[in-house]
Amino acid sequence: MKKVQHILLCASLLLADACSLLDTESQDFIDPKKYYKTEEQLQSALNGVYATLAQTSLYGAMMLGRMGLSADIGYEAYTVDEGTVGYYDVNPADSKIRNYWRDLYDGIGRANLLLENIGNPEMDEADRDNIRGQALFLRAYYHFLLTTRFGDVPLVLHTPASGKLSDVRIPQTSQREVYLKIIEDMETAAGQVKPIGEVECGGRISQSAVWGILARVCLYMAGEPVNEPGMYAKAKEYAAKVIGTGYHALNPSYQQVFINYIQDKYDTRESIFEVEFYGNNVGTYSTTAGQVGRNNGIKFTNTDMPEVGYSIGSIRATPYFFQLFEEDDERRDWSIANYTLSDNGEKETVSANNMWIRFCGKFRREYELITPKSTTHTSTNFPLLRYSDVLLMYAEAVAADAGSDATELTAAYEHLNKVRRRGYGRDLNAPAEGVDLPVEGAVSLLEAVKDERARELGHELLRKDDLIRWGEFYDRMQSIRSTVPQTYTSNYYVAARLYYGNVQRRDVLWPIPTYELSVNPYLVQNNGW
Amino acid sequence: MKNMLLKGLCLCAFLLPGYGSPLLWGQNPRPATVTGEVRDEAGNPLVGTAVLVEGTNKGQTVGADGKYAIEAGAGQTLVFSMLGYVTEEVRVGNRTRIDVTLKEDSKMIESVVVEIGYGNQRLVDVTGTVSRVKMEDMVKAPVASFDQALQGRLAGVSVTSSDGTPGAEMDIVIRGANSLTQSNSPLYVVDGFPIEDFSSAAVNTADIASLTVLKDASATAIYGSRGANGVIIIETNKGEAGKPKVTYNGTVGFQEVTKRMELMTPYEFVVYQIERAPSNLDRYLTRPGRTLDFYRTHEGIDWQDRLFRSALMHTHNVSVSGGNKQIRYAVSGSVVDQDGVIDNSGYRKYQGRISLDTKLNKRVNLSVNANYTHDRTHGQTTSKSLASANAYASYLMYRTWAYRPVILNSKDDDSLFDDENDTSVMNPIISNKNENTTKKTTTFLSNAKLVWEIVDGLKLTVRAGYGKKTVRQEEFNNSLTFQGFPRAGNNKGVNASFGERVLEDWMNENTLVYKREFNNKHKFDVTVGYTMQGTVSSNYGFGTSYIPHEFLGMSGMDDGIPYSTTAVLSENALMSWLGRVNYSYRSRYMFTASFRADGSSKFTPGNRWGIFPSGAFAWRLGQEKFMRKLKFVDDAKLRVSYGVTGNNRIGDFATYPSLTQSDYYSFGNGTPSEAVVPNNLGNKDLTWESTEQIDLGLDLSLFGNRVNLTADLYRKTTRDLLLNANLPFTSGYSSVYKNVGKVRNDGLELSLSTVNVKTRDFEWTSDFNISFNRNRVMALAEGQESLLSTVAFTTDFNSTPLYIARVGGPMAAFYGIAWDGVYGYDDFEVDATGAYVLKKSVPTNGNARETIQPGDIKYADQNGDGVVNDQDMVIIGRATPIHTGGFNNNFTYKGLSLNIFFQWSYGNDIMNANRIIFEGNYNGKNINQFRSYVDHWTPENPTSRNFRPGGQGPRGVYSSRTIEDGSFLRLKTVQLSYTLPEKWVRRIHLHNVQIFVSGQNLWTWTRYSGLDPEVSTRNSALTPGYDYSAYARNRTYMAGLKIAF
Repeated sequence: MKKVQHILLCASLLLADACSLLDTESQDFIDPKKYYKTEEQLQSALNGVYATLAQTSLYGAMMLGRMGLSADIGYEAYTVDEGTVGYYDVNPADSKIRNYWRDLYDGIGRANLLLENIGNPEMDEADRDNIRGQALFLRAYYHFLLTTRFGDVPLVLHTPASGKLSDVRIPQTSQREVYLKIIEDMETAAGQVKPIGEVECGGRISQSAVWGILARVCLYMAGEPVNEPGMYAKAKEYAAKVIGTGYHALNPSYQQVFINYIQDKYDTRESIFEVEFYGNNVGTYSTTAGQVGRNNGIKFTNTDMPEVGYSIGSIRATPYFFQLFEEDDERRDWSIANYTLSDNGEKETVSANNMWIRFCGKFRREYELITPKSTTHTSTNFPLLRYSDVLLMYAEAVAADAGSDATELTAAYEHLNKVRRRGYGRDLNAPAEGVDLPVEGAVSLLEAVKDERARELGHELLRKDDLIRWGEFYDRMQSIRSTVPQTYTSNYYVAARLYYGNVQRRDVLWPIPTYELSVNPYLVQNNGW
Repeated sequence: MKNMLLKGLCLCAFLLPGYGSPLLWGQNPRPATVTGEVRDEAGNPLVGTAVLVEGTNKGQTVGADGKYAIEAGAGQTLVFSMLGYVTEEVRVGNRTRIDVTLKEDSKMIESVVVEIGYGNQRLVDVTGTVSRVKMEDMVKAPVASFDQALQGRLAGVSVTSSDGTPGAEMDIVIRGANSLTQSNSPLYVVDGFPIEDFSSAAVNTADIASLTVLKDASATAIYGSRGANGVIIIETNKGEAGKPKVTYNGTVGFQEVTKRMELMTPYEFVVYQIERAPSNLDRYLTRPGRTLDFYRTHEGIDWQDRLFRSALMHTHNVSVSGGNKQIRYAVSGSVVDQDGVIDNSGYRKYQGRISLDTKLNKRVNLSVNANYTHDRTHGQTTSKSLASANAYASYLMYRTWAYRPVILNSKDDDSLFDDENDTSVMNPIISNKNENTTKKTTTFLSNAKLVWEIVDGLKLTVRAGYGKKTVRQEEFNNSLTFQGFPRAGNNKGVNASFGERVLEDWMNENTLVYKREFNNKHKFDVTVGYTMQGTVSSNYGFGTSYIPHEFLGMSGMDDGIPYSTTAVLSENALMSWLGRVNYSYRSRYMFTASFRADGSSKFTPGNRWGIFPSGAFAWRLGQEKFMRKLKFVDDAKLRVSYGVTGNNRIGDFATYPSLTQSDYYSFGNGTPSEAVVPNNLGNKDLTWESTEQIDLGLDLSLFGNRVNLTADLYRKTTRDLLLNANLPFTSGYSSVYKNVGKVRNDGLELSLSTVNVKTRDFEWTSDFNISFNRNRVMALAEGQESLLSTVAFTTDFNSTPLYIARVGGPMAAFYGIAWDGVYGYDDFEVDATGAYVLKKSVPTNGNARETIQPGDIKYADQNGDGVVNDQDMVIIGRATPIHTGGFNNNFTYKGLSLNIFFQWSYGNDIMNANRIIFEGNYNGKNINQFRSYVDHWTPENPTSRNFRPGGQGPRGVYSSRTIEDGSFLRLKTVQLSYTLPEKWVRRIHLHNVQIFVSGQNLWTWTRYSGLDPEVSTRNSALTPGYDYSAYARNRTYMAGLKIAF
């Protein structure tokens, strides 16, 4: 009897003791409940929100010439991408489109989790606001990148409460509503982030960056397909705010703007907002380097000569783009390289009549300072917003806004001409004959701005959006298609024929990824797919 | 009632110690020599019968003449025992001659005891479905680990390998897969130690005393949350009292590939290349002397010949066992050394084990077991890609088959690439020779068991165990390997990586068993227990790039630049209560009820505990009077059982949301600052996946036990599937663990053992088994009708689904486009320019209508919209077999014995993805093709079903063109052995000598065109039967020797 009692006693003791056995504690990962307790931790979370920009699927690699964003001024000639969105051969299962969608929503999730926990630490309220403003802006910017490519998209403003389908199946919000929310968040952010003079570099979001991007968002919303012309006034207002800071100025040399990116130099007067890349992906920091210049550079694939700078040369310019420039516009031979590189790295001048072979020349690896140059990655930052863009946006908004007055029109012309003078290597502030456009009406101004945007901002991933919002995308692509020589067999002619030949009316939007449709039945596929 | 029970207990305690006493103090007069003969009922001498004087160590065996002579006193008893005969006990009395006739034991089966988990039971009393492997047959297969010999041996136990990689573990699934995305491998219980992540290599086949598989819920429910996938119980050899027994068993032999693919000859290759791209004229025909005729006689290079080799294999086992009444021991060691049939690959294993059993006192027994295994697999995984860009081209077999079979003038065979910018064609031999990939696994298993018979019939068993498994992976890529070659896209240069995963398991199990019999009619036993188990795991690793001194190998990796570091720690714990009651009335009506309550750290406190009950009833109707009339029936038993078991195979912390520090961002060109980002959404509501199982079984023993039949019908329904469910990306996460859906497995298993011929010298016995399993998805995630799965192959195909799990259908079926041959001339109209234009009424194959030409691939347009695309995908193949089985035969004639074992799988299809590349060249590369593609569509050969070069249609399409029947019948194992006559053996002072020759995978009958039909290079429940660049299967020929001292 005693024995039995003893055994039972032992057993119950064991049980009591062992209950705690089941309370294992995670050692490897960070419990969100225990995180976000200090300002540093908020900062680490914010770094994660920024890091989305540098993802391979986004500015880190794929957007740079491999997703068709240069539209009529540049085409992709990199056979690996045949049959993908890079050649306008789009299908809903395209992995580049899927990853673009995935990583932007991943970034939105990072921002949401930070925003939901931002109140936790005890800290200076202004510093907290600064972090909040940046996160809010980036969340809005990611939604902006989504809605421009996919139209109506789910607007995600919270982390999901659980993995239950009811919590994660979010229907699309109309593009107009998405734009309104983007504008609202960016406006809030503008009041929280620091003025540009106080941020350490162009990679950090400043008030100027938020206002400038706000101007861009408003212009997009004003145009196709949302068509909300009232937004031109708002675009004008925000562009004017950037100009009104008095801080910004164009760099006197157009080339130097890009050499600065290549050489990791900052000029926040000109370059208001940029994606930061670091190192060459060797070693620990394997997510921080980009492919600016390595993708969208001058093709050179001899790995035995790392000093030259490897490039797949994914983007070649169209003759249309070349012909947009006047002969003495210095931007032409910088944006469009007038040479190719031989297998041993020598520059070979392109004959004047060979128009289709020319590469994008804005990000020349020869200017890189770090040697040996990596064959896979560069540390060159990529511009998201330059001051010249702001000046042109101001001009465009003035031209398009019915409520603009004569003073504004004159100012708009002056801004446009400043951009032109710099392009021609002239003194920025002195009127330049033969370069300056005379003040005419709003209609001529708008047409002038359209071409000037191509010349000034070519291959900076804005062209497709511009054409779409002006309602010119399909026609422009078709007009280029008719100019592609039909008989030549060099691979870049083949690529150009495929690229422009594949374009359809539906291509103003990408299809919602197949994967997403399969897990979220509320989504409606875009027209044409 | 309670008091009575206690009184009974006490009574027993007093009575039973007295039981053996007469022997102890009985009279022992002066011994005399007793002689006699032992014969069977037919009058033949029974050679080998053991004659023992009861209660002593005195004994001998009956010689060839059937005679014996032994000293025994009048008061003593002689015990005559012989396997297969009823043991006779004869009191000596005054006799000096005792002749005995032993009766054949038709009830021998009654004495067979099987392991049932937390105890054992006589087989006749078992109510659940429990299968035992005949170890004596299994050891005949010349293989490195027991799992490879288990194939086809047991009904309902599917054992498959993904390909022929040496040292690769087999995939064992019992009665069909339950879980869609989680592990379906069974729980192993080795000497009482339950292990989930068991490495079959850790136990030496020769050390296994018994291998038992618990299949139905009545048998497995005692393992609760880990029982749903079935349980494999392994008991290892124990020492036996007696003088030391030493055995050596060694084999040596060689292996070769069972098949090679037939490729285009140099002439056919050049003709094809020129037809494919006329510009190839330059490449092959402009050099001096190079004409088409030159290639007709050009010997070329057979790359398969250079890759495959005839490989040595040898194995050695030594064991020593013995002991006395107090201590028994068994010590053994083994070595396996197997070169791979592919150059620079192989497997090696060293293993040692010690087992001790000590009688501490009359009522307390202590056993201790320790086993140590170290094995090493080297060589790259042929079915793994080495790069993500152009992945298809980085697989080993691709490189071997694709590389040009001709010698080019300017390039010898020693360069890694013909063209450094085109890494889709790489010399297959050089990289493979230089790659250094090894995996070393060290497993240590130890456990101790203390059995205390508190009073008679009441036993307390306390077990404690500790296991440690260390898996170390090393990889070194020098500058002559695909991954270390300084080409564009290689941002690591010469690189190396190292990783070490350590898994430590500990357990403590305490069970109390009470066994009692009343009036010879009522038998019952009760087991209660309390157990604890825990696992602690760690994973550390690092990799470095741009290693400057590559000749230093792994030891030079510290000079490189670190690019990745890994450190992961994790743990889990399980705590359980268990209980079981067996009751049997006259060994005719038997009942079992069991339960287990498991608490797991993997779930949150509210969902932590699960209860897994079961019940079973067996009716041994063979013992009933009305059956006794049927003379040919020796025994019959009907079994029925029901129970619930669980599955908890998910990550230790899957319920928790988590963040990870896995990203960086640099501001102002500063050193990047760390970024903490969301990692896992977590699901606090996660709970057990549970499987309900009903089993109906029949055991029949007929014609004097010469025919034994077991049949089982079962239905297994699994609900709350632990599914790693895909999430919309808008959630910020890609997947989360959920309990969703329901899956059902229905099956029939038949096992038939027969003694076909039995004469004095010759015997032929066979074992046949066949299993049918049908699995069906009953429900998926809320509202989901189907689940599509992709496999990792190469970019063009990685997002194309190939498998579908549809509600109402099986877990996996091949899904794709139905192939319809090629477009013929009658599909076209000829336009004014003489060009062929596809008729409006004929659907396209997915390419633009105007580009389609005669000889292009044609697909079936299911929805009739004139375009073949995603919407035309249908089920194009069956991914799981209709039935599988095995057929084993043993023939013995005197000292000779022959074992022939067949194994098969019927009804499953295979996606032969090799043909996507080598029978049509989907990507239009400059590569060789299978010889079968010599026959393709040309204007001169318009009846061919193979499309013209370049007519492959859109990329990234899986079609029924490359789906093949994967049924096969394999002559798996043959062993011929000869046991030397005893009189010769005695002369050289040995106990037993056997020599043998054996072969494995000797012949396969199949219609499958690939290397081997037993293949699944992306194996999972959702994606079976995929073949791309599989490791060739080996055919083994061995000779061996077995000696017992």
